[in-house]
Amino acid sequence: MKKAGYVLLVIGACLIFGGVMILNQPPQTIKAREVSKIGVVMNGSFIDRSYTQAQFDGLAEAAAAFEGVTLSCQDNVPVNDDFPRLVGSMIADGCEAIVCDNYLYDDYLLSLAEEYPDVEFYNASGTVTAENLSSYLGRMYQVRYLAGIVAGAQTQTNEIGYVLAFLTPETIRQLNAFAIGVRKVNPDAVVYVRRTEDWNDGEKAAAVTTALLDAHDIDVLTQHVNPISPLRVADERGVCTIGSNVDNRELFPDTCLTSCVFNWEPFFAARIDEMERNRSIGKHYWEGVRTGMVALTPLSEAVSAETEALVNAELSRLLDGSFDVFFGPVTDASGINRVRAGENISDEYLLYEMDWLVDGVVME
Amino acid sequence: MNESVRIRFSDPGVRRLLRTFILLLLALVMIGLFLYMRVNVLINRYMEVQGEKQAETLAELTERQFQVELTALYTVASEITHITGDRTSALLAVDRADSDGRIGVQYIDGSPFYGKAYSIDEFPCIERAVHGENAISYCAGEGLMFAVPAMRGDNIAFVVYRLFPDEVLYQRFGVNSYSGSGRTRVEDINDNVIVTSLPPDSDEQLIFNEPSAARGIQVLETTLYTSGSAAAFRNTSIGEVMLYAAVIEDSDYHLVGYVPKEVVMQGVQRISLLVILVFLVLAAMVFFGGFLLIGLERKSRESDALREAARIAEKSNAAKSEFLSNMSHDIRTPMNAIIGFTNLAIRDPSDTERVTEYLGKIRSSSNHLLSLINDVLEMSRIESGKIELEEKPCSLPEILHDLNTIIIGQVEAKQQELTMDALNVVNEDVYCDKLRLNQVLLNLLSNAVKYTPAGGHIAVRVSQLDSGDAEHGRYEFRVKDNGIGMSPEFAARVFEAFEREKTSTVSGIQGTGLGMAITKSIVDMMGGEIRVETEKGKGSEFIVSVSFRLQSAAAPDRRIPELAGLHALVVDDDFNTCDSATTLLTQIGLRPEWTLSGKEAVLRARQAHERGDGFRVFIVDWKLPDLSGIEVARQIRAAVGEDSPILLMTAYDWPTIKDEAIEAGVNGFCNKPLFLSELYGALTKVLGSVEEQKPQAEELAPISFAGRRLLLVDDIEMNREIAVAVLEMNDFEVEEACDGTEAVEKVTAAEPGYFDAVLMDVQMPTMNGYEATRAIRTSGTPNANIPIIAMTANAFDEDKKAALEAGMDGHVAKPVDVARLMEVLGGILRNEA
Repeated sequence: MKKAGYVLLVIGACLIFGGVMILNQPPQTIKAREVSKIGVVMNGSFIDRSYTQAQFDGLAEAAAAFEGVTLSCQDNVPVNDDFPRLVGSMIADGCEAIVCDNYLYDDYLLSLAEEYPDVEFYNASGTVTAENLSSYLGRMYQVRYLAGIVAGAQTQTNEIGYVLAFLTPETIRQLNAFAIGVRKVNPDAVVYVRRTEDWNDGEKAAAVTTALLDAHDIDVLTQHVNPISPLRVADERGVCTIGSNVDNRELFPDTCLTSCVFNWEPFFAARIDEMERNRSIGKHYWEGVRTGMVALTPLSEAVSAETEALVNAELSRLLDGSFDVFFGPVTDASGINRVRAGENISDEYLLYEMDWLVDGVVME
Repeated sequence: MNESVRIRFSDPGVRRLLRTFILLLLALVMIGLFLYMRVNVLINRYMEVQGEKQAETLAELTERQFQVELTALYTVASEITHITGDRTSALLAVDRADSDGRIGVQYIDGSPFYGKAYSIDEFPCIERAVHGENAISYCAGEGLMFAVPAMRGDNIAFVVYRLFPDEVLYQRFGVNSYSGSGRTRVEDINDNVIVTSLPPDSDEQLIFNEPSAARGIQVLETTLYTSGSAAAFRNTSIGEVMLYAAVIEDSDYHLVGYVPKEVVMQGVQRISLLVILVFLVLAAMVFFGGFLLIGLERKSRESDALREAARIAEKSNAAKSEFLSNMSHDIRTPMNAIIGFTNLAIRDPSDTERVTEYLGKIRSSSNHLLSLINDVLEMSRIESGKIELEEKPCSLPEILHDLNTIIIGQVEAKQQELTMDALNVVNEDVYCDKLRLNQVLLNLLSNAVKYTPAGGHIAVRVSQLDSGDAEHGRYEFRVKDNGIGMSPEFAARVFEAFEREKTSTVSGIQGTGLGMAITKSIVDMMGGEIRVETEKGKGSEFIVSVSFRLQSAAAPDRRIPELAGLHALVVDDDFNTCDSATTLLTQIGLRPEWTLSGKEAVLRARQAHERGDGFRVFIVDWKLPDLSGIEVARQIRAAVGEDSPILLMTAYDWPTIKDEAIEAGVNGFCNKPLFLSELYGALTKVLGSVEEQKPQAEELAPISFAGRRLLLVDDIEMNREIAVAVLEMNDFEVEEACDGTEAVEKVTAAEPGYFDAVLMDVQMPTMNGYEATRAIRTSGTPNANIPIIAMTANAFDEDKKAALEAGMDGHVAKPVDVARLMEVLGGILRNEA
């Protein structure tokens, strides 16, 4: 009995010793983070053939290039308290990143970013950043500028229509960029602008477009809303259109001149790569034609070669950095010189403060 | 109290303590190791956390440096923008002021205004400045550029940059940590090195590139962007270093660095050492404490033992005092009688009748005193362990028969009845100390006789119990009487010295009071038990259980084939005897029956004989109530004829009744208690028609001592006087010697045959009896082999043995028993004749 006691004691001692050794092991080297699941939560629909779909397609394409990365998706998510709950469940499900598409999610995302410091958050069109929260957008205004050149060159009536949702710095600067482009090639053209007061309501957009087209002799129309109903309306009337977000030329083969599109794939690819190397930083991305985040789709045959050459020339100026759309001089609609020659409007201003319209824009 | 405690390792208690102690020590060592490792780990982790904080601080420092640069540049930019005069000279002045970096101003379209214009491909920060942000970027080969927009209102008018070439970077922006012992470098998001804390190609910077360090930094960088900072210890070519890293806020850069472990651990190492030291001290304390404990334990146990010993000693002292006081009383009583009666006798010696009476009383008192003294001496020798049992081969039947012989006289004197029987005694021959066993049984028997009134009954039974051990037999001796019994209080204390029933003085029964104590001591020495069952007024039974080593394990086969299955009849008025007799007969192979009545026995014998199924053997007790045994035998013989042998059982001596029995038709005799061997022997002899010859006691012709001369040696004159008187009364001639030397002289000098024998006292000064005897024996003189008889006050076996070993021929005890002395002398001198 005593012998058994001794044996037990020795075994116990060894166990304790071993346990201690194990406990005191220095922590094993940690692998760089492996991205396996990205959660996608979007306000719009993945099949809207527009903004949301562009995002989704870009992300899907980028993710496909990485081995083992899957997407967990939810669209048509409204901006309310369901949003953070959904995001929480996605994270619990194993998502290492969350991609969203609306600045209206900003506040929720700020608190979510704080709650989940190990998860990377990306919000398109967002305005806030945190250590693990990035907002991103493309300098669509550059492409709008090029589109404006096309429109200005194309119009016969010198009346161009522009349908947008709300007047926000985003829509204003794109509108202004468009108008600057128009005026560059056609100082006489006027851009008539009407608001739909809704980003996604197709019927409303169609109605506004109809009213706009009725009111003026517009032969080129462009839009800054998600639905493509304005294009349809224009197409029915034989009015040329310049699309946005997605290339819908096959829908409107006769009237579509070009489209201002996002190309999200490189951006997302870079982000996923960063994540895998554990180098994700929360910051504001605003990339333009130089990185290919925004682009003008190939011009239709209706556009003259001259115009195309001009477009290309302007594009290369944008590409080499010697020119940006809001390099002065810029005069607003009331005639005030807002930007002197040799000056540039700051990004800050463009993003958050632009509230005036350039010369040649008529707000209706 | 202050004597040192010697720790003896043979002591099992100490060994146990030592074992526990060693285990404790082992446990301590384990705990110590664990503690040490844990402390180290904790310290390391703590230092790493500190390292992280340090890294963060350094990163912050770098950031601030950058920030300062940008702010300064911004100031320059805004000044430039608002100068209305010569911008160029102002810029020149700024440039000169800080020669580390080169100032440059370019338009938003990239064309130069002052200094070299750089493209946004080389320095992306320019593009950001064009868009209104302060920015920093690095171009390998060119350097680090800080670019700020020169604002005019909300708009950007110029881009103002300051470019620091690679060479100045480490001086300008390098941060040294840990008072210069640590090295850092700033890397961009793709791990390109931007700023170092020392010249980039210095050895210390190259450490960063070592595989182990690089790997370590990689590990840090895996958590860097989530946690903001990280640190870990790593082994490199210069030893163990702490690697640390932190992100630089508001930039794509991070800072990595290393510092040798010793620098970091300086003060902290002491903590670890301190912990170890404290632990060692504690362990040492426990170690010595343990020794102290052992010592204390021993001391306490010793003091406990001492206390116990003191208690026992005290108790023993008390017992001794009590013993002495009792004894002195008991000694005084007969002494008083002796002195008293002597005085009375002296007063009137002429009154022979009275004087004879007095002398008789003096004698009996003397004898009593002598037996008391012997008992006391015996008791003390037993208690001091001087007695050893002598195990010799004995025969239990013989012992019991001897007992019978000795006690029968006293029994008959009190007209009591004694029955002895044996039950289940399979192994009759054992090894035991016959003398001591006799002492015990005799003591019990004599007590039984003493404490049973006249007409009472005493029964002795020996039985063998199952011992479970092939080599030893367990025996039980029961001595039962129907005497006065004992009260329960006395029964509990009967075996203690000097215990006598309170009423003994009233009933006038004499005794030394030591008998039972001695008996118990002897039984204890034999490894047995003695107990008593008693009831006052009804009687007592003493039961002695003891184990003896068997002479042979096998029970001898005592079957008589010729008698197998034949009938036998046992006649005895004691049921127990019938029981044991029938058991024995069955073992022999017969089919016994029994009866308590002699008349019935005769009747049954006749009937059986007439039936034709007669009894083959008869065993008849001599003492039967209705008919005497001999008469029964006569009648049975008459009834059944001569064929069947009749054995007569008796507890008493045969010779007196032998003739009458034989004449009545008895064929053989056997003694009670019946033992298997004896019954078997008696039957076989009877069947063999061999008449047993009882060895006759030799008819001894009385011897005359006339003309015999003895040498009496004793140093005490009075002893010599008494002895000489006694011897001369028996016709001896006596010469005296006072001590051993004189004796040796006289014997060796004497002519052969001058002395017939020597009576040698043993205890003498100068030369004692043994020495004198040896001297005589080895003297080589013709008288060397003269018979020498020892006379000694020591009456014990050892003394007898010693006497014989010294060369003596015999031994008598003092005070000399005249008859015994004459017997011994007679025995010796007869042989000489």
